[in-house]
Amino acid sequence: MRVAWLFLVLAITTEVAGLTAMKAASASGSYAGHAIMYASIALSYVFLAKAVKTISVGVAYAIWEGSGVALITIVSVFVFGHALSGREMLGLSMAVAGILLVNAGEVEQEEAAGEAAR
Amino acid sequence: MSADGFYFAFAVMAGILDVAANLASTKSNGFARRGWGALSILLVLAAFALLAKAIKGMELAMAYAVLGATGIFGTAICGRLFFGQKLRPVGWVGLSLVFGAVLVLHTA
Repeated sequence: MRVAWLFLVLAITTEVAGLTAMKAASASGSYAGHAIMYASIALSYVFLAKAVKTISVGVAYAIWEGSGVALITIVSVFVFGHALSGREMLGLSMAVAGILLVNAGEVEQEEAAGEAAR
Repeated sequence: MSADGFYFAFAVMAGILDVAANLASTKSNGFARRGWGALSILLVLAAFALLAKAIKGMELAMAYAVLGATGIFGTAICGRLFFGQKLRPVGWVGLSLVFGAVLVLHTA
């Protein structure tokens, strides 16, 4: 189970790297940037496939999507010196709360199998 | 179909391909079944290519909102339909919050 979460974290990291490359590439229009973006996204899905061996795919994807957008906002604060607006703080809180709730709502596979057997 | 609807359709298609990629990724059993794994990567790259097309004619924020809605809810629904992966009601509230966050952050 722990390993699956590690893979999910790796999937999110490579996704954020890919999207940051996309942002940079769309500004400069470079082909290298797009190549890095597609490579990162592909790698991200390899990690995601490992993660969804044990984590429900709906839960894993929501966490992947939610952390992705939250981290990009944080990257823009720390790397590009962007100041957080009230709206962005609200969005970040929603992402964190949403991810916690999605986690709390996951029905474990053994548990689900038990329910089905009943 | 109007030009706007055309680009909107691209964003929805990207979301659907994203869901298909997630299902193929689950099918691959952690890349043990290479064919399913390769298919999931092809699908996600196609999804991004479509997203890139969509944002030529619509706001990036709007495209991401459409992609997020289709992807997040579509994956949870299909995970339940195809793999019997259930989510408690609180989990669905969580999904809605994550979708709300995507919406708020991309339009901030």
